[in-house]
Formats: sequence, C-alpha cells, structure tokens
Amino acid sequence: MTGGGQGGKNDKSGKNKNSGGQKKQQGTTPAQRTQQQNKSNNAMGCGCVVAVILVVFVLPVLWSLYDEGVFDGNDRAMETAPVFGPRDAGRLVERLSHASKAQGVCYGWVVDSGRYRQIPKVTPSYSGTFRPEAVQPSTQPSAQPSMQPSTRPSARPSVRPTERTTATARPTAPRQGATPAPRRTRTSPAPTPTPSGTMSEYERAEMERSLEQLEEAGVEYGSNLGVGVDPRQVPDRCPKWVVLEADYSYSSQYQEWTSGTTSIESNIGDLDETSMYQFEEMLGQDYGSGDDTDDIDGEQGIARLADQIGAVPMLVAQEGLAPPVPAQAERVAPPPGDRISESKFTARNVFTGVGIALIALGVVWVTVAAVRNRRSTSS
Amino acid sequence: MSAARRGAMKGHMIGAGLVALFGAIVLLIALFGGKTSPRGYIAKHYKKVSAGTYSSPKAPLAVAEDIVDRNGTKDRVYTPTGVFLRYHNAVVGILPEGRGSKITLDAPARGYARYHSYVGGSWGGSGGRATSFRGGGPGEGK
Repeated sequence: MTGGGQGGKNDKSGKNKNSGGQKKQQGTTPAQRTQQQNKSNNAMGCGCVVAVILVVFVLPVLWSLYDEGVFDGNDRAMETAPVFGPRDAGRLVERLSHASKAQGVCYGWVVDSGRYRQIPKVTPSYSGTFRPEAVQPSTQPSAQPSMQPSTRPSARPSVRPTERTTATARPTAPRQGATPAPRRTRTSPAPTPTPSGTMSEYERAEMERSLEQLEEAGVEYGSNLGVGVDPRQVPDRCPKWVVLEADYSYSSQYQEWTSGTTSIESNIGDLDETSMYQFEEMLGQDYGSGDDTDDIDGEQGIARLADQIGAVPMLVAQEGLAPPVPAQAERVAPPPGDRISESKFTARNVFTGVGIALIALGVVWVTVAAVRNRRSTSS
Repeated sequence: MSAARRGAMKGHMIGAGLVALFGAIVLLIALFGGKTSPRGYIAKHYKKVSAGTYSSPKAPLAVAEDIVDRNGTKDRVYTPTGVFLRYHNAVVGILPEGRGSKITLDAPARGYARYHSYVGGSWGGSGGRATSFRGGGPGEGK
C-alpha cells in the first residue's frame, strides 16, 4: 500500500517534470534517482579512498622495493663489475698523481670487494693529455724478507671472515710459526719515514701478504702510477707510500655489500688504523653522524670510498707528514652543455608527487561531488 | 536541496578536505623538510675575507667535518686538493691555505663551474647528468 502510495506520488512527480519538458530520467522515480545518486556517491567515495591508499601507501612501498633492487633479477654482471669504472679510476689516478708530485709520497688503494669472481682490470680513461708514469710492478718487495717459507701466510680461507665489530678491529697477531716482531706502536714518535729497505721482518711479511692478496679474485687496486700498480710493488719509485685498503663483505643473494671497513697502511708515520675513526668522522662517515647509510657500504658507498681515497693526502698534510697539495694551476671551465644536475629523483620527489596528487584528488573529489549534486538538484 | 543531499555533500567536503589537507602536509614536509643551508653557519663561525670567501686556522678536513656536522649533505667530494660540498642553495669549497683553510661560498651553478675539474661528472655533466662514482660495482641503491 505504502509502495503504491509512493508510486502514485512518484508518478505525479514524474508527470510534472515531463510536463515541464524534461524527458531525461524518464521512468525513474525521485527515490530511485536518490538511491542511484547515493550509490554513485558511495562508489566515488570508495574510489577516492582506494586512490588515497594507492598513492600514500602502495606507491611508496613499490618505489622502495624498486630502489632496493627487488625487481632487478639476478644480474650476473654485478658479480664482475669493477668498483671503479674507467672514468672513475682515471680520476682517482689523476688526483693521486697530482698529490704525489706535490708531496713526494705515493698513494694507492686496494679494494677487496668480497666477490669470488675475477674482476677484469679496468683501462682507465684520463682527461686531456694526462698519462701516469710508466712503471713495471713487481709482485714482491724489492728486498726479499728473510723468512722461512713455512712462515708465509696461507691462502685466504674459503669462508670469508665475519663482519668486523669495529673499523679498528684488525688482526694484529702474526700467524703461528711466524717470527713475531713488534708492530709500530700507535704512540710512536712518528713521523719517521720507514722506507721498504729498513722494514722489520714482521712488517715485511705483512706487506708481502698484502701484495699476494692483490692477485686474488675480487681484489682491485691502483695508485698514482695507474690502475693495477700498488706503490709497494715499486719501492724504487715509491720509497714513501700510503695505501688505503677497503675490505667488503658481499652478499651474492642480495648482490650488494653487507659491510665494509677501511684501513690505512703506510711507511711514513703513524697513519695506521688508530686514526681511522677520526678519519671517518672528518669525512662525515661515522656512525655518530646520525646517518649510518652514508658510508662506504651505504647507498653511495662507491662515492664515499672515493672520498676516503681522495682525502688521504689531506690527512697526510694535516698530520704534518707532507705539505698540503696546492690547487691545480689551470682551472678547466666546463664544456658547453655541462651543467650542475637537478635534484635527484629521490624519496623527496616521490613524496612531493604524492602530496600534489592528494591535493589534486581532493579538489577533483569536491568538484565532481558538487557538479553531481547540482545536476541532481536541477533534475 | 534535501537534507540527505546536504549531508552527502557535507561528507564529500569533509573527505576531500581531509585528503587535500593530508596532501598539503606531505607536500610541505617534502619541500621544506631536511633542507639545510650552510650560509648562515659559515658566515657566523668563520672569518670573512671577502665576498663569499672565509678563512679558518683549521686544516680543510677539520673545517669540512665542522660544516658537515652542522649542515649535513650527501653531496660531498673529497680530493687531495680540497673538500667540496653541495647544498640546495650553495656550493662550498674548502681548500688548504698555509696551515689553515680557505672557504668559498658560491651559488650552485657558479660553484660547479668554479670547481668543475673536481666535481664535474659527480654533480653534473653533459645535459646535467652526473656520471662519476655512481658505481658499477655492488653498492646499494640505484
């Protein structure tokens, strides 16, 4: 009965409207139209909520997964890609060469990237007419150590050592059978250059072990004399040397470094591992800086490693072991079209996009609702 | 307009307003959150030598540590000759001078051109694309 009554009212209403010349929505009652309108509005509201969830939660999560390399698949090239490419290696050689000429000290780097595949030797790309001094590296120090063969350290174990607890926790005890000679003490009154010819037996053995490791898989090295030349291999050319050694642990599952430590080996003074924490602190790479991802195994690990290698001559100058390196005389203007990059597409950009999208969504939501409401009112 | 429609419209307005408000908050944080500038700090803590140039009796690494500690940036380049820091509104160069340091403060484009032989490729390049020290090896991220 009630339905019939309503139907009568609706019919009447419909007739009135039809008589008003509006033929749209013919055959539907106002109640039905209101119901449809409500359904439509509900659908729009649900759509907006879904869009908000997508934009606010799903999109950033997907971006994070992409950024972490989840969609990269198993890239075998990652297993053999050099840490420093041709241009980067060339830059390092050029910078260290400039420092070496100014300070009379050879600078080198050794990176054990923790991978078990042989990394192809990079042919560095130099700028302009620069070429490093040609040298013939030797795999042994010039003066052979007077140690028995049995005291030579064995090959590296197949299982990599676990992550070091601190950057300064380096093994100092000689292996069994070796003739232990006291290491340079950290408080020794350096700087007293200790050329290769006057090294103690233990120091010589340690250096020999370091040089042997250069030929192992996953190890890359270079110096101011070029890629593939360690200053300790050419003692005649490099009586004074400083080498920064980086030791990484690599996860083949995630195809990335899981940890990394660095140390400085030198024969010109007290530049051993005691100063590494301070060195990292000076470079903004310490844990105390509040960002533990901004170090040699972080997001920009290769740039941070290059920072450490590049900063060693400044550290040597700061310690008073050599004069500061003067700025390069010629200032090279950037070539046409070479300009500073815009800000990178980072999380900041993603969230900027999310914010704009949400504001636009709110405006569209209100506009669509207002238009529909207006149409519905006018009908 | 019926009460039901007014109620529905009010609901839409509240929903859309909340969405837009949330968007505005996200946008403001993204645009202004975490942006640091070393200009004020350098002007306050270092001796001004000339326009855009300051000096310090400390060595470059110590000065860089001080500035980075107070004004963090991930765009840092350390070379044997000096330290270079990039911010959204400045490029800072810290070079050895005697026993101390010379600190220069430039607008980003000017600083990039000035120190191109040190930061070219790292902070920019042809068409503004940086290419250096981005890593062929197993570093994290993209």
